[in-house]
Amino acid sequence: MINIALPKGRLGEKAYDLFEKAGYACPSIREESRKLIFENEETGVRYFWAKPTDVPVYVERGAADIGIAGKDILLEYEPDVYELGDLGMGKCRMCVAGPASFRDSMDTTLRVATKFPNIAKKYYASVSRQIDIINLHGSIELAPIVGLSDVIVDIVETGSTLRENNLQVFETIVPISARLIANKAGYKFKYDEIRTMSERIFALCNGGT
Amino acid sequence: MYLRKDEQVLYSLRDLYRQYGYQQYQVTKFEEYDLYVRNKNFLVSENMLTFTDTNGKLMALKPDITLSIVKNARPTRETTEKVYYSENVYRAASDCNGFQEITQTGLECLGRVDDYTVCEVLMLACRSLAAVTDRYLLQVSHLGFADSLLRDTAEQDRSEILRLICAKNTPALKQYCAEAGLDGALTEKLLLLADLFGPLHTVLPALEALAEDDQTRSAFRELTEIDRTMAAWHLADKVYLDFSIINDLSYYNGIVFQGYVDGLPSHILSGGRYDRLMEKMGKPGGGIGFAVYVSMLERFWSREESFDGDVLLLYDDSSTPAQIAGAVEQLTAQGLLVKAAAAGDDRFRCRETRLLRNGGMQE
Repeated sequence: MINIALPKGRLGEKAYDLFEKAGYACPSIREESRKLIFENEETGVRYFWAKPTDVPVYVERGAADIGIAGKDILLEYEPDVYELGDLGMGKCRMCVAGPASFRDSMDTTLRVATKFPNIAKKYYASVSRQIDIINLHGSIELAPIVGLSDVIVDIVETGSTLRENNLQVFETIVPISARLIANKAGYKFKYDEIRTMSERIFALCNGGT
Repeated sequence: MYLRKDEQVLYSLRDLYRQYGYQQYQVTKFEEYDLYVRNKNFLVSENMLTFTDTNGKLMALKPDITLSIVKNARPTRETTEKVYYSENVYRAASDCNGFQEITQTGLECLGRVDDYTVCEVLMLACRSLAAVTDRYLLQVSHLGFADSLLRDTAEQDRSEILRLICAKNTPALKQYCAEAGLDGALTEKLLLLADLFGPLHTVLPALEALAEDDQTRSAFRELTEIDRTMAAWHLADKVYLDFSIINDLSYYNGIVFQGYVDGLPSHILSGGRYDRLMEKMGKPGGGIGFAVYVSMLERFWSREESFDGDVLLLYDDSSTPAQIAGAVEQLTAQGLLVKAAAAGDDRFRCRETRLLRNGGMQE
């Protein structure tokens, strides 16, 4: 039995479609219910939904053998897991954005609002810029508008929220997409099953690159 | 004598190491902070618990045992010093929530490290895991391959490539090599390295293609020798080749390994060959050893004891202390685990409950 942690939301549903196409269907998952775990003995899989930022925790600690997690979350939390490849879905970018009128002067500490303090810290350390991190949990775009921060470091998908609020992207830090991750012990003891599964899945998404 | 399962394992490991001629090595709980600062890349975590000694020296509670053993050892190139230890170490928890006290047991071989010594250490690593369960495997890697393949690669490419090999992220590795302008043949070899997994004897043929220079040929020969010797101990099917462990190349060289048991999410045993650490600390000869994280084992066995005892003996004021003592004695003499408590105390769960009234026991 392979335990699979799926991120709640659109990405998780798309990822499940992929698993279903690869031959790991579990019809009960599509039924409306309050159940948390969905199992199919025939295909040997057990799925459960988790908060997207928690998926790497379930995988790292072995509660799930396999999981789907955004590259943003992997970069932020750096879990000790195998990253088997890119599913090519949930594509977006980690960006620095701010008001169109903002001009960066190097003589002050830059105030950066973000949900990803680790990524922001690493990025600004790499360009030797002194920053003050403001750790927020949602509506990051609001911060520079109300003067809480100079810029934000956040995920940008289409950029429409930014445009509507007169914000623009200054820099792309790294492209983001969904990744297939595996627990290091589970990968070894269930090698054949996990290997077959990942091969079938990456065959469906163009070799995974 | 009653011992918890993890304590039983701890004591059986001591017997195991003694049986192969390892001597117990006792270390103090703390060491000069300086030792760890100079070798911080050797440590799992840089965070340490420090305090000032009476003479003003900054000290640290031991985050690691190997460094202390190497520091105090007087090895020679001709002889092998074999020691084992069982100690507590102090490390910052991975989530930064304070420090943890971790029970660790392990062994070190210092001085002359020949092929047999390497195999003996790997055998003892396997048997240490077997003391926990027979569903285990020892993941073995040889740093000689990555070291040789990446010798002419730029420093920042090198660390990124090693990170991708560790994550078994072959698609990203392929892409990175292409972007960094590595030649196709080298990329293919690195991909093979990231992808290889299986019992040593089954993957050795595939690895032979990578043994092209002196360093990789000697690494290949060492792995072949290990496979043969482990077979002599009937352990060949427990040793898996997998290059996803990359320890710091400035301390480690040659064989590095990690042990897994089915049921725990991360490795419970970690070790390797550290000739470069010996060299850095000005000691002659080489070194190899491993540590077993005994603290992690307590999670391996689910709590079998769902009872606090065999008999819950409830008494009230109608019985005298002497009468209660008599009843307790009668039960313990039968080998039962007895919990005596005042009537009305309902915190305990025992297999059976008896009431003591006026000195007489009732079911």
